[in-house]
Amino acid sequence: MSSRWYAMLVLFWLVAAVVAVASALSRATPGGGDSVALPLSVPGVGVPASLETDDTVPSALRGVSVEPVRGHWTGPGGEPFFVALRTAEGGAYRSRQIGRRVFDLALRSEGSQLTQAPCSSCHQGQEIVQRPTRDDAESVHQNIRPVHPDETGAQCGTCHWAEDVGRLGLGNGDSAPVDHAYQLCAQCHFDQVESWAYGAHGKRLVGWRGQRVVMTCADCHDPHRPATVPRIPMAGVHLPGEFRAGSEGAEPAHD
Amino acid sequence: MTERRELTFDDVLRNAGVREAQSRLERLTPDPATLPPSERERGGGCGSGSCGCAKGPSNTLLDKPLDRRGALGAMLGALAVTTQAVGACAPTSMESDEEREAKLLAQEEYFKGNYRLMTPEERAETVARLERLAELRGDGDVSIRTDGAVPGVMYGYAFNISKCKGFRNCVEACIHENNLDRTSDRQYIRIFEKPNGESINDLEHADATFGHEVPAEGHYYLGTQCFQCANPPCVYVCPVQATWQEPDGIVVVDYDWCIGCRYCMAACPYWARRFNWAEPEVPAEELNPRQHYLGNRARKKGVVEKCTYCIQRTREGRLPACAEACPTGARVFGNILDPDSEIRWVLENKQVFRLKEDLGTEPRFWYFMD
Repeated sequence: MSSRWYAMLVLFWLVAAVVAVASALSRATPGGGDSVALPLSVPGVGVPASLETDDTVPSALRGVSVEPVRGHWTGPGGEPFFVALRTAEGGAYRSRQIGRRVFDLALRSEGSQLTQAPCSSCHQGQEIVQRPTRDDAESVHQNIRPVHPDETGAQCGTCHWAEDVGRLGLGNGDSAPVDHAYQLCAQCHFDQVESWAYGAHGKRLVGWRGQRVVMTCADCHDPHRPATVPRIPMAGVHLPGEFRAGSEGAEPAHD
Repeated sequence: MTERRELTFDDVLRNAGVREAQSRLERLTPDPATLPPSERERGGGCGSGSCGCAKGPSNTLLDKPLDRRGALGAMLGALAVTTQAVGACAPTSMESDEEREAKLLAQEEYFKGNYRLMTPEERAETVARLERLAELRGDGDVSIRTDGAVPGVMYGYAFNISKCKGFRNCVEACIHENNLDRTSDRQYIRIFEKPNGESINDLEHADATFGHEVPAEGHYYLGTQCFQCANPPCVYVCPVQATWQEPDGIVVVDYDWCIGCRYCMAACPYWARRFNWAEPEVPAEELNPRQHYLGNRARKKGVVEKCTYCIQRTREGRLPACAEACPTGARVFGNILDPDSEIRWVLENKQVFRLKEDLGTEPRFWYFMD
């Protein structure tokens, strides 16, 4: 009788010990037990999740996917914030006019669209140069007006990673996905990026409380010409009708 | 000698013809059983009990303890009912049932109390009346909320004058969100254009009506709206307490209690308040149906209105329409009681200032630069 009791006691202690060790191990994992797995190649970037589609999310932002950003990219309170990535869903309504540019919120998930070829498939054996050598409209780079690289003396390869057109090359030899351009921009614009990480620069989406979702650098700034382009303002005070509500055909950028 | 009896209020009403008016009204009011179910639920007509003027045999009006205002309201109400009843009985009247219902609801609305003194039941009643009135007006299915301040929240706003480029997307968004009067070009937000180097306290001579391409060379832009001051002069001068500060810092107006004296407009050093010289008009297809009693619900002629940091949005966690629409990210909004909020980081790490700080109004709206 007593030996059976001892056996049960020992079994109980064994089970308890296993549970305790398992919970201690899960606590020791960085980011907590429920955190997403971080790919080794991109420190601080997790797996995208879609924004909730409840009433607190403006209709223009529903279906937008977000990626938590960890590591030293933290927001107020040291908490990870979420970088908004755009899915390819939705129509033209999801647009935001900044200057003359209308940014289509559905087009910003560029990483998946730029996987056709590495730069080296055309630029093989050559140094990647700043300007296309041919100025014809058939050029694949026709939509790029390189103002910012010209001003800074940068070449294509200063920012673009030659091995993968979907990635950006960092100064330390590392690379970042093209959708996480803040890692690249931060190399020079550290003041702006600090403000951005804490909420003084850039744009917070969704709401003022709860999960913090922000846009990244290239969501507002064209990397090749980042300055704001002038335009006629909206909603003038006693302005003639043709000047009202965005003469560029912009949609109201609110819910 | 005949026995002298103290004259009761009931006698007064009887002598004033209230009882007669009520019995006439009962004959006019359609039986609730014959109304369609939707109207019965919404408190349609006078037989639903949402109004106290005539509710079947048990008279709720006279059972209520009546103060001076209530008595006055009852008597004037009775007069109005009598007039309407006579008008309705006249063979020449072309008034439809809906028009009559709207009139009765409007009359009920006229005699309601100050929002802050209402019980939750009274608030629900007035909301039901206002929603029904909006429906009768052709504004569609409007929902008016009355939720109060969230505990532990004090709203603050920061405006980046380095980032604002004068695009006025905020103004456009505000007009649509808050159902601002389209005919008078009503706007809560003003964006001023100032030459670089000029003082921000000289806004009297700044241009807020620019129509050229922005940003103009050598200029900066500065937006004003209601700053929800912690020491609000507009609230102190109101003679009827129709405007007050909510626990979350938002200064609101009870549009149905405002008498239109415009003292508050004179007291505000920031030109934040607007007066309705005419009945505000919003096209029904552009109307924002998500409304708050203290926010963007329909205003009327002769009352003052103002920015409420979009109380109908912020109290459910959304950003104000201006902050959400801003294409340059110049607007930072949040809870200044939360030490981890973005607005707190701006206040603690950026060079901030407020407009006319020397007046001691303590605005909860800061300007900052990159």
